[in-house]
Amino acid sequence: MRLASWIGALILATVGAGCAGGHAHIVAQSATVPVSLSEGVRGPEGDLVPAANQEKVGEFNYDFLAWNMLWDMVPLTGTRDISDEINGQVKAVGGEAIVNLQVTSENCNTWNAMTIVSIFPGCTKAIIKGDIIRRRGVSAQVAATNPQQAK
Amino acid sequence: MKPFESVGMTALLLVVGGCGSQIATASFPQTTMPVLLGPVDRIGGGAPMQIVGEEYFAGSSLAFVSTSTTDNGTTRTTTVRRETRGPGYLAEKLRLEFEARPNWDMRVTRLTANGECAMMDSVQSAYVYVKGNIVAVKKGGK
Repeated sequence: MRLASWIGALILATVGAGCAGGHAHIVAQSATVPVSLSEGVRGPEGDLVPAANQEKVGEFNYDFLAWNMLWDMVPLTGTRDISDEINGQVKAVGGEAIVNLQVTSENCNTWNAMTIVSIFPGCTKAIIKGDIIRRRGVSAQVAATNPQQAK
Repeated sequence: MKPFESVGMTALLLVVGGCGSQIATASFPQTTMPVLLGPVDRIGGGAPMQIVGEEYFAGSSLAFVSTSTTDNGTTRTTTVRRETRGPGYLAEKLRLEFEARPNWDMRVTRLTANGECAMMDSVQSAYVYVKGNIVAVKKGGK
């Protein structure tokens, strides 16, 4: 095969393999309550709060689209800090923590002709859910006096 | 399908595309070890608990599909490969690696949601990557 054919095949393979999609790093750098991806959470003295002693007082829900360009190489969303959503939703229901946090990634992108020329952004939907809890026997008023939440 | 129809369908696919929806979820069900996202390590907050040991964890939930077709002139064969790892996988991995450590927590250092389609949608994937430090905390060491 001539050199030109090899180069052509290489270019075709490169653009054909080009992917559309998105990703985002999720952080909660200024959350004022514990946020756990498990049912485990510690009380003020550092002991685990048993699940039976956790009262669910609400649900945390947040989702967003994470966008990328140039075959997923250029992040348009990058890092998403969900601290404000956490603090706001927990405070609204008088909670003390979030447990059982779930993070779901769902394709929303479309592989198409624009993917080949790399100018059409791709995306992924991030869906975040969790249980807002407070310890049994602790009132919403007491939970609101948490020095971290009071900030 | 006539040749021009085939070309038309290919062109339509290129323009419209259409990534099949893959969904991956990361969580740690039925796990008592706190898996913490964020700086607060206990209810009430305050100074972080003292860390007296540290190890590492990394894993991902995943939904992956790839499709390939071979045609030898008389027979066309389509092969679909699927791989799925749900929240149970992460919880089990954590349990196997760090079982029975009541005073250990996980501090998540990276949580990434990702979804991709490639090769004209013949490869589709979604995953959530979780990486963290497994730390031994000293109760009352606040």
